[in-house]
Amino acid sequence: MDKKIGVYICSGCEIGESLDIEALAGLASSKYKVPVCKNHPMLCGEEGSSLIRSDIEKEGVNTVVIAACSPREKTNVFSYDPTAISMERINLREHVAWCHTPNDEDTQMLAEDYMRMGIAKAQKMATLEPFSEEINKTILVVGGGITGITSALEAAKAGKDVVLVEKGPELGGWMAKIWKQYPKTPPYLELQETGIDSKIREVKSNTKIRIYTGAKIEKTEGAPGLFDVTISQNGKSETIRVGSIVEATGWQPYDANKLGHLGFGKSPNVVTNIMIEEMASKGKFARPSDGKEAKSVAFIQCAGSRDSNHLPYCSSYCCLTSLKQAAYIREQDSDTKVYILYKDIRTPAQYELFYKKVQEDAGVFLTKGEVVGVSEDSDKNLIIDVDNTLLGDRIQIKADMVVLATGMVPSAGIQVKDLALEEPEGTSDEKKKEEEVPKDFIIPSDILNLSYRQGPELPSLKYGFPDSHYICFPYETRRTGIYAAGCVRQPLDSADCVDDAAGAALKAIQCVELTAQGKAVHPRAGDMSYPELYMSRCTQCKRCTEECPFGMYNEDEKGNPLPNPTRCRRCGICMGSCPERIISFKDYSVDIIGSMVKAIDVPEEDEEKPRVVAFLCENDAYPSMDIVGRKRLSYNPYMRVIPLRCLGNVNIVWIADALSKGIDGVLLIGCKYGDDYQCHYIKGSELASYRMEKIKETLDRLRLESDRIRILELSIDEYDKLPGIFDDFMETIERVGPNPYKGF
Amino acid sequence: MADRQLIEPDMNFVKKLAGFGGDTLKKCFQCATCSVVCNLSPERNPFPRKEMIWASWGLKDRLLTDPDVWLCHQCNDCSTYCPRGAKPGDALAAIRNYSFMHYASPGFLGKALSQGRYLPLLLAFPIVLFLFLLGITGHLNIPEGEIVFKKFVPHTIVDPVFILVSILVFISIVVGVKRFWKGMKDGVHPSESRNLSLLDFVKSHVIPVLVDVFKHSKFKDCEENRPRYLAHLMIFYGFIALAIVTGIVFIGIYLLGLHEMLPLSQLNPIKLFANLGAIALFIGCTLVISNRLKAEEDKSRSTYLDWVFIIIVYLVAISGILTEVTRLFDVAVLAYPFYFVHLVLVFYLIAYLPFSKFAHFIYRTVALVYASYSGREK
Repeated sequence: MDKKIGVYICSGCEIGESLDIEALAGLASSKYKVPVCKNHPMLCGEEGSSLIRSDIEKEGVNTVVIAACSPREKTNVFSYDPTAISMERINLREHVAWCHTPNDEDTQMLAEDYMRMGIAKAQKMATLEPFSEEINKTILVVGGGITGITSALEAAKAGKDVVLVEKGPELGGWMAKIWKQYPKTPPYLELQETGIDSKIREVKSNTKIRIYTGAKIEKTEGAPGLFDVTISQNGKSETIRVGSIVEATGWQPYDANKLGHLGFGKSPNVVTNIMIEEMASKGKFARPSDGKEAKSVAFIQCAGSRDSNHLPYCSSYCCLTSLKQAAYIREQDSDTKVYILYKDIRTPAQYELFYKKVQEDAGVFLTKGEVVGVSEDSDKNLIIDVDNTLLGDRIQIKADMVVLATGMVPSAGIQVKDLALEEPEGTSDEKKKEEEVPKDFIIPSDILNLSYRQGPELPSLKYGFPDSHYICFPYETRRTGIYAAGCVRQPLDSADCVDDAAGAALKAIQCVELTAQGKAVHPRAGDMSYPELYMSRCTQCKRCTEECPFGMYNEDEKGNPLPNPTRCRRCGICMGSCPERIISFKDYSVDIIGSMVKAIDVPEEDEEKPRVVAFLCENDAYPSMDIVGRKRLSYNPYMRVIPLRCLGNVNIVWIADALSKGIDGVLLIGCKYGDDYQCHYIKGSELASYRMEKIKETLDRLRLESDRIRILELSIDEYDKLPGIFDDFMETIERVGPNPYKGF
Repeated sequence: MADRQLIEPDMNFVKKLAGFGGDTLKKCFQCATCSVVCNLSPERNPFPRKEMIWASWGLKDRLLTDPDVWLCHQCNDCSTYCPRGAKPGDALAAIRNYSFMHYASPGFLGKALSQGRYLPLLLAFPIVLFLFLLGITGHLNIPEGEIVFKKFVPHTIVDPVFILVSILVFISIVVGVKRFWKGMKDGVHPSESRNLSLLDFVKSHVIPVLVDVFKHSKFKDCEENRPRYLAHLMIFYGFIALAIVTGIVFIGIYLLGLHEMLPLSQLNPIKLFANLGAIALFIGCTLVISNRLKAEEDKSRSTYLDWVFIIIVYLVAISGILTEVTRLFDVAVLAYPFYFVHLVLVFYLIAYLPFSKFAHFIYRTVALVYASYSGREK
């Protein structure tokens, strides 16, 4: 179908008062020969929007260019079927009218450039054809503890078929192994039954849930909606197709054998909080050494937790568990003394009430302190040395039994398989440079055994927990369609696990439903575009397969990328990585953005109007620019902003296009990266910054000042820094002088 | 820093303190708000934060030898600001209450004083004693004619009893104070032995403390509970006035031989002084009781020991005043019984002094002197 572009310019919201609208319309119709070009004083109103709709219906307009407010505004009004209509929005309000001098020559030039860029983009955009395949909507839940059971039940209640796989012989997980739980409901004072039995019964009796116990996952192939999972049980293997996966494989206690400094292994009377649960269910708290009833028990909190030599983090359940176990012991024998030696007592929210209750028990003695040693005297009594106590000095406590409150290790963080990860091949200089980007950390924990090119399990960020975008999207992992929930994701208590399980079940359902419609799941939820590869030009360099943060590409033996579109987040990082520029979306490609760069009108050197193109990530930097507009902060009018899905999209050719066209500088602003990254695509801004380092070297070799390129990180709360960033960069450009390629 | 100390909590002590009004102290989570708001707490090792954890761990030995427990005048600023409802003010009061029992001998009396069920027995003792003495000397009747109390209870009967009791009480106090002083010296705020002459000791440590006590200057530093200052001041000076009058009369009768000096004329300055003292005592007690009744439960709660003491003092004042009034109005049938009641109550007050809350003036003064002597002050 032929393209028919309609350009619609809004003159409301002060746009008409500060710009020459007729000139803008003239530019569209004369230079770009746009067949339909209209303006309206309020395009988002009933009249304005029906104007566009009627052109679509009657005039056959299939590409709509709306020059009005920010593309982040009025999205409900300017919304068209992307399979039939391409849309581009030009931001004349926030980025032009609201922050530049009205009716100024430079302001008008800015608006005209944005018109050129928008129309240039629209000319190359194609309508979308959603990726379609027969999508399976079954939810696979891995792990039959409180989280897995809850997830399975929630998904089944929402009408989905569920497969629940548990490696142990029974469902229930840790909740089935503990005697009682600390109070989870008001008034938060009395110990409660775990209630796991009734949940197990419920899950067993639900006909939508198929349960495999004593089973493990041999292999997981495919992609969301198309996962083929091989489950082995009783020596038999079976392959089933599922749509999405909830990984709820829980945790293991930190290995107390590593806590010799706290007496574990040296005295049998030093036990762990897990062992106390066993004693509680037997109803007797006896010293393992001689079976004598323990008349004094000392709990050591943070045993191997919040300790740089062991687990550096807080497992969040140990404080409450020790308080609970103190209550077990005191309920059984009111003469037994219980000591709790802590670093900090952490009993968030209403759990404070339970802490208060246990604290008031005359026989429970709490102090902050640093346990420096546990030893045994001749009577097998344990002597605990504690420094920096609240009692005002270094003290010693005598106890019959010591309980180490050990923390949680995520099951995904335990290396089960002795599997050397495949080293990426390639020894070229470029490859070495690329390796400076921290490599993904994938621990072969034998949970999913993914047949993914990048490794068999979920990539982790820290301490073996699967990486998720903690701030914005905690349930997401870096494998689309696979959702970590419960203690494998983060140390949680059972109440939080239940919430987590429901959240993950919802995400898993969302995944199969959107995937079935050919839409992206996250964070570009609903996006129907996906990357297409022009394979005949592929050089098998493997950069796309290595750099995709989500493991979208598999690889054949020759090194050709094999895309799995339903795994794709549509970030376009592969598009930025490809030296051959063969990866494109129908509405977003190296060529399309390159055309925008080329559409910028660069004045002659003697006009003294420098030009800078600024690539802004649409997640933080671009919305920050909108805030700058709303706050009416003014900044340099020589900037030309191009929004990107992610800074990782920046293909080096755009820089070359800009510089060869005579543009004086290129500014790239992306999200913060590092351990506390804010990049929606995990590694986009980080990859971009490594790529830019390389291009700067190239520029220096070409005697073109590398100062012309600057890459920065910005989070949305720093929007007020943007005008300063622009001014500062402009000063640098003025110092460096005009681009010598100007006018070529 | 000292060597590592073996800590052995005493769970029973924690429970005992709870019975003495320290039932909230386990709520403490050691934020130290109490020590920050306290105007009396020294900057170095301030109280009552450390006392709170010692108490919740039942560290009896530390608390009983801690002068800081007595530096507190219980204004309850701490309890008002405590975010946890641990009431440090009440906790320290409970420790003090326990101390009376601990330091005074014989110990059984301390225990008896601390429990309500022994109160009838403790009151019955002087009643029976006086009835017996009056009985065997033939004075169990209301005398005829002008009301003169020695016709009812001759000095020869009442005075030896009180003199004997006072001597025993004095011995008990001396023993208690000695143990207390030694305890503090070896306790949590130890003091090095210093070669200080008695005169210098009195000059630099006793006198300034007594001046403070007479001025009630510590009380004035307490912010939250201003009304207590006036009430306590009146009781304090009421007692002093009455003690002075008693002393003068004693000297008059036994040293100067003025056997017929009583009853004093209402115009006699000594009598005037005595009446003022009685009125001050009465008003002071009234204020204390009304303050306590008005006190908010969540800030402070008075215990049995607090109540029994103030009520006895109040009744002493009331019975004394009634005795005098009925005498002046010449109502013999009332005046003599009131006098008898008054005697019984005064006996209670004096004989049980070392074991009751009355002893606080001794321990607090000693602790203040120790604090000054050991340098434990701001």
